[in-house]
Amino acid sequence: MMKISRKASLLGLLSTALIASLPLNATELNVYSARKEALIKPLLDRFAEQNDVTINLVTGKADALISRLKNEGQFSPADVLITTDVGRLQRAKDMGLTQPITLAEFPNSEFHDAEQHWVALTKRARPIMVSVDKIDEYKIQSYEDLTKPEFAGKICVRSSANIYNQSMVAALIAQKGEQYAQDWATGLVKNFARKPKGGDRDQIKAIAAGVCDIALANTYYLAAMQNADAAQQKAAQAVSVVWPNQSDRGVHINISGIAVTKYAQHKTTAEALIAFMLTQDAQSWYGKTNHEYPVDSTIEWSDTLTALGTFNGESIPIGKVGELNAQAVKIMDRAGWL
Amino acid sequence: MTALRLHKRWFFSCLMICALVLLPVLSIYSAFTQFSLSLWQHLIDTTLGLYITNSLQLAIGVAVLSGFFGVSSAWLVSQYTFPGQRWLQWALLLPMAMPAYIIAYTYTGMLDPTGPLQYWLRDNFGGTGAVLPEIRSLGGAILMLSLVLFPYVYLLAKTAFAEQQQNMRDVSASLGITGWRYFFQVAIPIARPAIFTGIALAVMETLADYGTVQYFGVSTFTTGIFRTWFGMGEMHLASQLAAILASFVLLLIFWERYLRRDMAFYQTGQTETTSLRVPPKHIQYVCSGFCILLLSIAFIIPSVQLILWATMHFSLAQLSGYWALLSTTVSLAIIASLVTLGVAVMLSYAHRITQHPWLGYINQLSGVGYAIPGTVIAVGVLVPFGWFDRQLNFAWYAIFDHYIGLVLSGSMVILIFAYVVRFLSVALHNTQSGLDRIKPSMDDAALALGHSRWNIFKKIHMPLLRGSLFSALLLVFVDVLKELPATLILRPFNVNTLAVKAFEYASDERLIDAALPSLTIVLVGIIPVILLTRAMQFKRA
Amino acid sequence: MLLIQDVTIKIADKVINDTINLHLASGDIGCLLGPSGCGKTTLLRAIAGFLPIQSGVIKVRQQEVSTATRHADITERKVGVVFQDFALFPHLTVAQNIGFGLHELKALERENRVNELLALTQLEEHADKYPHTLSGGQQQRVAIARALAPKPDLLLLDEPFSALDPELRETLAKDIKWILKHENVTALLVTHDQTEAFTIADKIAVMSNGKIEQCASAYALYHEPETRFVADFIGEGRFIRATHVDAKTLLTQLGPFVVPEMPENIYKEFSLLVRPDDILHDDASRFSATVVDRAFRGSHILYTLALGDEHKEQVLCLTPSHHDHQIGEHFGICLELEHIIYFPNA
Repeated sequence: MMKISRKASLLGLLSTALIASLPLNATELNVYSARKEALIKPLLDRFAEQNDVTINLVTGKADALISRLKNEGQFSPADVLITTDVGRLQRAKDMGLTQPITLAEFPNSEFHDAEQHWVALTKRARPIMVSVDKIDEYKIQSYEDLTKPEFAGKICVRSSANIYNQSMVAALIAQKGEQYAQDWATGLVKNFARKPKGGDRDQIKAIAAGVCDIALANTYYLAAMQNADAAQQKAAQAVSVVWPNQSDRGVHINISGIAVTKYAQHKTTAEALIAFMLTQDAQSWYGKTNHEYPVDSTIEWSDTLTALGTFNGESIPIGKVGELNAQAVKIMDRAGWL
Repeated sequence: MTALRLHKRWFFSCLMICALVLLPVLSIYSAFTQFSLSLWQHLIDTTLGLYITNSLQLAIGVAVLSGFFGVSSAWLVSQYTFPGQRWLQWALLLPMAMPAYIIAYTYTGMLDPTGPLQYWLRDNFGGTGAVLPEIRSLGGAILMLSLVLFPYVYLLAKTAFAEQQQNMRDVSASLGITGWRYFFQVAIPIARPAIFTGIALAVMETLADYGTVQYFGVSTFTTGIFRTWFGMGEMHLASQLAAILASFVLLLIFWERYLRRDMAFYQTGQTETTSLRVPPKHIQYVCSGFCILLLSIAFIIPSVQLILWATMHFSLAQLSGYWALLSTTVSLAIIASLVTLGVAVMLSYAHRITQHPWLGYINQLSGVGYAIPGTVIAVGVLVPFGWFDRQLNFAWYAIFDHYIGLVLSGSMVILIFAYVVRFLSVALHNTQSGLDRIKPSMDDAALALGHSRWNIFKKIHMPLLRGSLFSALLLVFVDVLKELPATLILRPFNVNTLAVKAFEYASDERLIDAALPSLTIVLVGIIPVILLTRAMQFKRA
Repeated sequence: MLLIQDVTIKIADKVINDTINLHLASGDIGCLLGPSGCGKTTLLRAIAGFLPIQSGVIKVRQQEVSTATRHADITERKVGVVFQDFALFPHLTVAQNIGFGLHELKALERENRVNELLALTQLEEHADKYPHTLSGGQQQRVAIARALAPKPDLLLLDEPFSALDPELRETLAKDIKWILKHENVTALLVTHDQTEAFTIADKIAVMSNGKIEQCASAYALYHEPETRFVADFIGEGRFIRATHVDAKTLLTQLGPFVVPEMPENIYKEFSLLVRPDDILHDDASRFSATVVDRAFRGSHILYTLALGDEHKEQVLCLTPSHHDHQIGEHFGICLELEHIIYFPNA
């Protein structure tokens, strides 16, 4: 008897696993998200509650999700794909995994695909951060300044495996050409204080610890540190933000965004979600929770963001950055920025 | 049924299983059909050399260091009595429950130039910048990985040392070989298969590691795979790199088998095994000190750090949904380890019954998933299963005029299958060595007494194998518990595990929030480790 | 070469060996013979240096190696050991096994010595094989060659034949004896099998309950056992009851026997040892016995005979096999004793 019940329970487990994977019904929305659960689920929950929709979520690395999407083909249950950078949205589009979105109102043209395959949800800036003690002495004005020989051994940057750096170099290629980007990357690597390691917060902390004087980091990390525990706050106070290239092409900008999958079964719901994410409520939630800039310039910034100052951002067709991503990686390979 | 037909049936079912398990691996190898010379040229010109040298250094470093930690501690606890020897025997297995990326986070938190220790050093003794050797370096990665992987070596070496006969020691002493000489010339060589297996597991896990090396900024073959895939969008090139990595590991395994082709390492097990020796007091303290230090660095210190972090901002709100998270993780690990064990038993049994030399190699081959990064395995699983689901749908449509949607993709089945592919090697090692210890004459005797094969399995092999099966089960359980990348890609909607949770926080650079799920992984992982040691003690009694 | 004086060995306060005395001259092959549990292996291990002794002294080549207070390490003793299961190193070839103890020699000397031993033990063609591929007898020779290689003062062998096929033991024992004599090594082996002991040893110490009962040649043990245990343990034989008739005569069911005069007539009853070869088939004899069991041994038959009408006492009788009697038959026997061996009954 024991044996039978054990077998039965195993079968039960397996069949629940199978049933869980069967097609889902109409009042549902299936989300593949490269944004971490903590930074997307609260908003999704709010939308689900307001619209009486059941939302199923799976999070993961953007490329893995795109692979999964591609392999599932026309039977994929996913309705929307959320990523934290434009390159991946563009890649999904290029692979034919997305479809045009219908929205009553799109944000500014630089924040959506020309063919409406994706829409930006938030804006992120990647300025230069300099040790408070050295800011007057160094007088850094631009990304190009970082390649000056006088900053040898003074710069901390995370690995180029990270998408923020890849996008940054890709944007530089888009604006100044491949050779220019190559020279800049090579020059930057020469000034590294240490082998790239850790995340953006680590670079800021490294300045505070005196390992280096200059770093590249996204603003929301600094903002988050300013609102974190005492140790992190202390580290955050050791740096100040330099908005580079304000007289020319502007600071590097990336976006997080969303696309509707080609074979979405709940397209209207998906579009309703996108519209919801662009509302003032949702936009300022991001500003407060993760200190990202809203894509709509009319929406007010959080206090932390305001304190970091205003800036001019790059104005390039942001989708192009995605196309140049592979080239950017090769440039960094050659520069020895790993 | 004739013996021959029985053998054939076993042979072909074994082949079928292996084929299934190897499917993802084959789909990785199939990437070579799309070969791009210019991409390879770019890799060779720029980063490939670095990937190879770093990976080699890392693998050799971990082999040496985990070998040293594992063999030395196993030797001490299996040969000498000293204060703490009894509890250290099982406690030294605890680091196994600590995922490599988590120990990497904790040590970075403590030892980095931006961590509390270096601040304190700078404040009190002066200096600027980094005043200690960089923990996030190749050397640091070797240390971190060795600290959590040495228990594999320890576990196997300890058993091998404990089984070595007193006679070997006595005869060597009579020939003037004692102390270090005995250790290196007799004890180690005789335990070599066990030690090598342990080190091989550690090295395979090292080569598949992404979390630690990525965090430490060490560019290895694995980070290279991800860089070409994620950065350049070159899935095929990434698969090719993974295939090369897998081939390298296979070569290594077969090479070692070739080296000891003529040697037989039967444990006769009939004479008395080594009795514990009582060294002088000061030596005893050195033994205790060494083992406790090792355990502290590999387990106690990082655990305490995790506890400190977890309690720093603890609120009951964090526990909401935590029970679901825990039960998902645990049930997933239980199901996956049972299935993996079943497959491993089938495979090693087929080899035993048929005695077909091919099956030995094929079994070895099907364990290669252990050396392939989880993400790559996951993609290897996605491709064939996606194809299957599509074909199924087309066929279904032709008959019933509607689609049934994805059946396997995005289900628990595919995730558990990926775990099997990834961790089969761990279970196979145990079931195989367990079966090897049961003399074939025992089967023959039972057959002659009129028992069916099934009966022999139930009444003779199962009781004798219980220990091996149990340890296989627990090792896979702990591994699944810690598994991250395949889970991340393959999990169904709304399925979260502790490892995913810990990773999401950590990759957002929120180490302190990651502490609670990390700590839970360690705590859940400790349970099977303790069970394992109790089972081992039971076996000896 | 080996001298053991008044040695007592205790393990966990239990006396295993009690006041043992033994001496082996250079080149002697000695043997500790006794049933299992008699303490012979413990004594061997103490001589080897694996165990301390509690009193007495063990000397090897006139040097004290074990006393109650001093315990020379095994590595200082120049003693070779061969174990029951041979304990060959599975990871080393035959030649490497043999050369294992020659680590202090130069490569060339080592090679020469290994070759010498390979030739002596007729293992040349197996030099590069691993132990598990050899037969039991070959493995044994490897173990002996390995122990002999460093030219030990004393070679100790613990039940060296027990892992081998019983039919081969005698031949193998002769081979081993030849090897030991050729190397002119002093050896001490432990066994429970008297055939082995008789084949190989010059001097046999019979042990019982931790004590040496008698130490002598095989002939002396068989024909002149000093204790009842030795008489019983060595060879085949039965005791029959004997009573004192006068100071010089013992009376048994098989007639009277003249014995050396006893100083004090304190015992009334004795046991007289009767070996199978002491009983002769004699149809003319006035004594007859009944066959209760028979064992055919080719050229001979070993009969178990019951004496007298009451069949209370039994003797063994070895006769040429043409004297064929079935169980239950009677035939006449006479007792011819060359050595009269008897012990008082307590």
